[in-house]
Amino acid sequence: MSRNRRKAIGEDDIQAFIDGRLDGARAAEVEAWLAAHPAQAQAVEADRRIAQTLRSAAAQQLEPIPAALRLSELRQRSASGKQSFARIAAAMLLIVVGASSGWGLRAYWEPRSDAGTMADATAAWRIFANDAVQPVELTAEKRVQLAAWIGGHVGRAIDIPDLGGAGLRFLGGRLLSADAGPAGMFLYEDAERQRYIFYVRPTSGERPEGLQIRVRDGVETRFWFDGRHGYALAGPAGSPRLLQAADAVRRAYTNSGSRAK
Amino acid sequence: MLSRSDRDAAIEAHIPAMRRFALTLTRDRQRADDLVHDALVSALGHWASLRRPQRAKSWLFAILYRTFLGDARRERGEGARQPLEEAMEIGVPASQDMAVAQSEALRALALLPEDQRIVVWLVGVEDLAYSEVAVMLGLPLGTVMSRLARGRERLRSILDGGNVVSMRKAK
Repeated sequence: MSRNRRKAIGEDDIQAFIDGRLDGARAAEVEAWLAAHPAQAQAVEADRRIAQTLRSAAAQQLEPIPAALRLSELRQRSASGKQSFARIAAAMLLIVVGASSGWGLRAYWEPRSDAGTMADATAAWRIFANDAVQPVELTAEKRVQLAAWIGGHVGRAIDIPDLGGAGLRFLGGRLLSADAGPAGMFLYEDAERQRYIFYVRPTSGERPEGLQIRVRDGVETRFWFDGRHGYALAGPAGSPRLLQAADAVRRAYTNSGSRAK
Repeated sequence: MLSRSDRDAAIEAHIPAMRRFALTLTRDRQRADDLVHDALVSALGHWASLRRPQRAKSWLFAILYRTFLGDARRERGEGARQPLEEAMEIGVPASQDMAVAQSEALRALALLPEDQRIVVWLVGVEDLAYSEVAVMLGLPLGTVMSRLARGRERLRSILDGGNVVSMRKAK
């Protein structure tokens, strides 16, 4: 008698079965019921497949969190109260515009984004170098694709520098968008897990001659320009590795690939 | 008591999921990130009201949803939305077939009425408990379950080209 008095299989059971949330005994009962109801069984199969497809679609769009949504940024802004929401929204719009090819970069905490200072490289280091989730879009294993991809966007051949001599291991890179156009960022790490980036993008506006150095808030940026591109290395201020790396890259990137007019 | 950095980490861990949920609500990238922004500001101000940090995800989703409702009231009747599959901007797909299946599924999802779309998403993708969704939306559990069933049925029929098998006949 008790066997026949099992609770009838209802809609809720079926939903929970699709979601894999039934306990073993009830799941077995639903399974038995489905075996006798092929149309519903097919529907359950389809629902599971659709849910799986949606999950995979969701998993694929795990992008880096835009700077505007970083808590440290939110807090800073609400504390200083200097920026209106409209301004934040405008900054976010710029960030969103570049989304198809990597998040656009507009460092609104350095509002006078001056092409001649490579401030965007400094901002890229701040945002991405220590991102715990996804600092790079393509990892070091995809070095060749990465170089081709970035090169295609920034408009010069990219030979990703090997900075082993400066004690830096290459981790990967990503495409960003700066005021001056598409930018490539390549991330490196030293034995102490300090991070460094090499950053390259087309130039616009005035360009100082020779190697420039800027240190601000613990970040050091070493940069220079040639006829068509700006290059920068950024990392923790005062690091001898940064100095070595910048020298190595500057030597490699002088008079190669980018034809000065 | 969590330190501020633990708390920030607990919140930031859910930002990608918040952005996805915001996209399924707004179907627009810009509005989605605006919504997440406002929800985060609100979350920072109300952190003390989160009793159990393990529940941070549904708590954040609830704040996001309330923020969305507030915005929706203000902006009722505004223009067309971006297609969801475009807003979601599927990146590097595993394969062409997979990419097609994903954008079809997202397109079908976008066609669901909002009340079904939300439940299908929160349960099926974000893996929230039925009871969490009920609390979050302020609905009885039974309503959540029936919206889930209706939503899945509809999603399936859109993707199957109109072939409807209703679980309502399950007896």
